[in-house]
Amino acid sequence: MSITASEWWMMLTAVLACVPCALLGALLVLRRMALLGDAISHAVLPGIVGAFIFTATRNPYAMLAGAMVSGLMTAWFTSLFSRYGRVAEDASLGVVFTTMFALGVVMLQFVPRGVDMDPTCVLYGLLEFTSLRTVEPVAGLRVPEATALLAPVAVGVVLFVGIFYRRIRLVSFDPALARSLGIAVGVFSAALLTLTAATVVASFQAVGSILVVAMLVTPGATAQLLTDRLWSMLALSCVLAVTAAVGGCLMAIHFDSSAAGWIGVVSGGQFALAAVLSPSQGLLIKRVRSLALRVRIEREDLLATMYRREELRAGQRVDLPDTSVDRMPKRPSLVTVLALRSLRKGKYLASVGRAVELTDLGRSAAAELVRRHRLWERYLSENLALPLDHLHEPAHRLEHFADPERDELKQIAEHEATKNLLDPHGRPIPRVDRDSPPRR
Amino acid sequence: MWDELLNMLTMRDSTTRTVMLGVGSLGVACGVVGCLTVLRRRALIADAVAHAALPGVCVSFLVLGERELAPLLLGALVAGLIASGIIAFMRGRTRVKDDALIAVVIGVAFAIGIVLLKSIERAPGGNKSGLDGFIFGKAASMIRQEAVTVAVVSAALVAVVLLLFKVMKLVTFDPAFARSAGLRVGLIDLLIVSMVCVCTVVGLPAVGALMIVALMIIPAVTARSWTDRFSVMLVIAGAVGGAGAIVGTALSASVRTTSGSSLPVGPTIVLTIAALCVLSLTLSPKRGVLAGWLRHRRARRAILAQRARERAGAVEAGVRIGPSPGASGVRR
Repeated sequence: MSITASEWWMMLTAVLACVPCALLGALLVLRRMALLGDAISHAVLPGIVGAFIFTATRNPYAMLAGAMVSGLMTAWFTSLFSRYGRVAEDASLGVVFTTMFALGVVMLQFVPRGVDMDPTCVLYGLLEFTSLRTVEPVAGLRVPEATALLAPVAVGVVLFVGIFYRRIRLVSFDPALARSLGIAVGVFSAALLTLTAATVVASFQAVGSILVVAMLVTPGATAQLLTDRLWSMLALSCVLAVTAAVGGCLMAIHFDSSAAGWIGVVSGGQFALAAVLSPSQGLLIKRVRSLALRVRIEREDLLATMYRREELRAGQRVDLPDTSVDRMPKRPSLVTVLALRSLRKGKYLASVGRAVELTDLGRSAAAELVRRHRLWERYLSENLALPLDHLHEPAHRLEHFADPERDELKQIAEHEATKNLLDPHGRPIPRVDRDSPPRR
Repeated sequence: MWDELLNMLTMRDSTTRTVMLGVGSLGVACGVVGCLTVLRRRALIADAVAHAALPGVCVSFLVLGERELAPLLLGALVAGLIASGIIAFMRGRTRVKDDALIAVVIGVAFAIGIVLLKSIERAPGGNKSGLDGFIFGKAASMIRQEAVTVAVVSAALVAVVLLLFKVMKLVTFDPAFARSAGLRVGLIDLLIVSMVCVCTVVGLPAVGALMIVALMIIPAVTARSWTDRFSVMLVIAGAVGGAGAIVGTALSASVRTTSGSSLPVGPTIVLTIAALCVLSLTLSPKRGVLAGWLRHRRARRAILAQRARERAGAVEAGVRIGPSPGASGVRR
């Protein structure tokens, strides 16, 4: 695939539009102002159309000014309604930006004929035709107008984030502390809003008003899924934005389709991938972790059950049928199968014919588990005065997560060690040789 | 202009009556359903649903190749349900918050829609005309059958809300208690979201995707500023939505721009309702901005006056307490 000069310009413009969007978007996502970007990108319409009607030219600076005014008005009205009118923040945003957008569409009808401005162009953007409209040649290069407009905005946003990085971090994560340290949080918020409005407007021609929303929030949200640190989140959202812009343009060239649309689609694909595959909080890893936890609990339950069966057979068991002893499913679930397999592999269980029995290693591990369970039952019965029939459930839950002999409850165990070792149901609490603790 | 407006509002001819029946009932249904989402702090779900409608319409056009309204709207409905399903599924499962999720869905759904729209344009014999009418809507060309359909669906939506009034009330104001009382809160949330989807889809051809969002949020916010009761709020929101839709449609048909064309219906309706809303938010005696500001000022005066009295009392008693009010950082 050969790429023409105008396509290079298109790609460069897309990158210049996406990077500042992604940087500011990451900050908006952190401050839970993601939808403000959406709102501003709709609400700048009346400002742009107004500037257009007023000056009767496509002067980008007039449009920029008009859009800034209406963007900031949106933010201001939203906070006014939610603070004094006691309207929920999101509803107030919804009222303001839809109204502004409606106003813009109505005002479009009053644009004098012969000036090319139609709503679809405003919505979709015309990245493909970037290089048709150029400014005066700079150093022999015919730079497209959109590129020339976006470049200073991109540089400005990067500089803003770079210079005020430490303050941004403080204000994003702990506005109260920032305020008490004397940082003007309000000024910072206003600066963020102003820059967002400027970026939205400058990207307007290139990516279109609604796709700015995609580029404003998606890379930031994707980066949030992948990292825990602000600097890497910012860097990552830039990288994601650049790859989405370049990838989207290439797809658009290949399919002869809308570049702005493809950039949004690629960016959405990045988000979907990160949501599923992110190593720290992806849906997949969460599934795996929860499966691992369920297998561990099932292993422990199986061991303890085997131990109690042995007790029962040896006639040591006193009374009270323990439901968990008699519980053996006919068709074991995946979790049970995995747990059994890992127990066999670890030599906790040995096969005897078609049945299994505890090995010595398994027995000492099981004894420790049962000991925990019964120590917890004693503790709950004596210290919290729970009735006998309410002891099993909480002890059963605690035994998997808290060891009464290692945690702050150590003294009960020591206390118990000197007494005759029976649980509240009258069953013996197994002794465990603590000098060589068996690995479970 | 005024004669035309009067003619429209008195509904002399049958075309006007048809259109008014359609938009009026749509306005009522949107107002009522909107209350549920606004009170549940999910106002902007409707925004995501509305944006998802575009790819839905495109997909059903590509698959079925028909321009019939019903299958296109079915596509929009399915896409809306998928979008709200994704938001509901992801909510709380990762670190990404609700608002960012909604924004991501909005942007990406619209991007998909635009890519699909382009490929429809390029397909042989394909012509997108009519499809992008969904973005702005054309209520004026509503035919009798469409208007009746819209009216029936709207009536059904309102009936569902009325029939499940108590359940809705409980789930809206105290979901935790509703759950402990044995209600399937998830199911009812799904019902509410589905109603939002139906509203959006039914309103698409009439007022357009972006405006239907406004039609759901603004009447609810307007109603909320006048009352603290759920039932009253539903009635006011329905009335504001219905009346706004009718007056807006009449205005859009009777006001002419400089070039002689009429105003787009959807945005005009939104501006009409928004004007009502801004008036309510400003002037409402209990929750209005003006009332809030006055209350604030009264409270500050009262506090200052009390301080002054205490100070005077202290001075009389010969106790010195701190610097004078002017120097203590209290403004004015």
